[in-house]
Amino acid sequence: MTCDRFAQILSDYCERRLSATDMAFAREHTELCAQCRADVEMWQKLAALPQEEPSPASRARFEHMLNAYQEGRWEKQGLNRERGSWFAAWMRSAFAPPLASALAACLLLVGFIGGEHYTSSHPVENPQMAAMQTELTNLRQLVALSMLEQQSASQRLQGVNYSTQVEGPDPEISGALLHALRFDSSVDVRLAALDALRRYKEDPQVRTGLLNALQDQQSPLVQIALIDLFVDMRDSDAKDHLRRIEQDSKVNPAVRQRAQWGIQQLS
Amino acid sequence: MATAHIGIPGQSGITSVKAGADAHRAMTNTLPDEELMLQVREGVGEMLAVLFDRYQSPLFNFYRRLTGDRAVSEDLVQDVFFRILKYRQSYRPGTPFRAWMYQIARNARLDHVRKHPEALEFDPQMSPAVVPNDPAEAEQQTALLHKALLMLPGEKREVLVLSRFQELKYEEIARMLDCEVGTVKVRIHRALRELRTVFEKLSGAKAIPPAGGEKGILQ
Repeated sequence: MTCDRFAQILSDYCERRLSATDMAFAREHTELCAQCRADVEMWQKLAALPQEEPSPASRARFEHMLNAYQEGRWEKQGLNRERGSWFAAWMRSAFAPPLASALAACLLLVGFIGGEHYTSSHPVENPQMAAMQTELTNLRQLVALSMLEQQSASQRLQGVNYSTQVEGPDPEISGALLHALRFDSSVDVRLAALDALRRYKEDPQVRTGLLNALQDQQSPLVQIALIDLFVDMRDSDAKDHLRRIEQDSKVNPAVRQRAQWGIQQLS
Repeated sequence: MATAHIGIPGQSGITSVKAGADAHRAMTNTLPDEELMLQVREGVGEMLAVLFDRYQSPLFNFYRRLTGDRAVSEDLVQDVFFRILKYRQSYRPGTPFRAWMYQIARNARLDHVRKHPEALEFDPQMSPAVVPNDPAEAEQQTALLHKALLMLPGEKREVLVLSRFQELKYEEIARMLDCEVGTVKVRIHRALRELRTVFEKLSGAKAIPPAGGEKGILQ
């Protein structure tokens, strides 16, 4: 076998895609020719290049693009609905997540209220009611959580508001709200999340989360709201954090003043 | 798609919702690329998410090896999926999806280079740092290899990456580069040999003299 011929089958040889006879001929050539042998080694060496993973944000960016694209398409279909089936377009947009979940929750709510009316006028023991109540709570959680993940700030705001309708303490919801408080790009959503977190103020994990949020908060509005909340909660652990803010010359003067006021209140 | 990822594990009340979503996901996960792409073409955008999960990593590595830049690579991956959505009508039934996708990926990269000509020039800052006294020799070799790959001329780097890492057939690469299969094979070989030369130069290894013996490949 010549080097030219070997060059033609190099990658097939390396990937073992040749017949047994051709493999044998090729192997014989590499034993005789140092250049071609080094080429094979180089090909094999390339396997050492590591597989890297894209950042997790990549998936979120893709979803954002896909949602935006689909919303745009639905709007277009809405405009052309004289020609197309407006009902189909409505169905598709109505069942877009998280609307599908919201719709499901509403239907259940209607059923639940109807059922409750019925049982109050017909006082019969219904063990299914309790199960339904749990289902409803879970659906509310689901809707709130999914809305908190939305790309548009107004939908996230709705999600925060919806979360307040979830009965009882729910770590999943408080976690999502704390995340929104710390990382949401919209100040409105952060403020709403803070407001919604008030009812979790007894939860020690939420308290720690709030203290952390105070440290890395950039918006003066949210900082002041947080300080007020700590005063409300009579949280003396917050004093050290407030003192740090008060002494930080980079912090907005109004926030520093509020922190000073907060320390006085908590002392 | 969304119902699948908003499920809360451990919540018994939503088991049916989650189970339904999981079953749906399991079903779509087994569909071949081409079937998924046909559904995307028909307007079922959610199916693109399954293709994204399958190919974001191979595509990212494709660009990572071509550009040496993580951020640019991530941007280009997004661009590819945007283009797939935008040009979904141009996908013809029976076309192997992967080859079609890499064709789009190539075009996205060419457009990127057109807009940012400086991206073609090799910037040693972009390649992993080579620490001469690194105790982990293997790691150092890998860094050198990556650097050598980035030092190859663009078209050679591309053909090498396409054939070595992206699991494409010669025929598919030939169609992509608009040339004969034989030409692809020759190009792969030339690229590999040049990579070897650069790598040997970087690692300070002694070049193997050609069979003729009178002149080494390093001049």
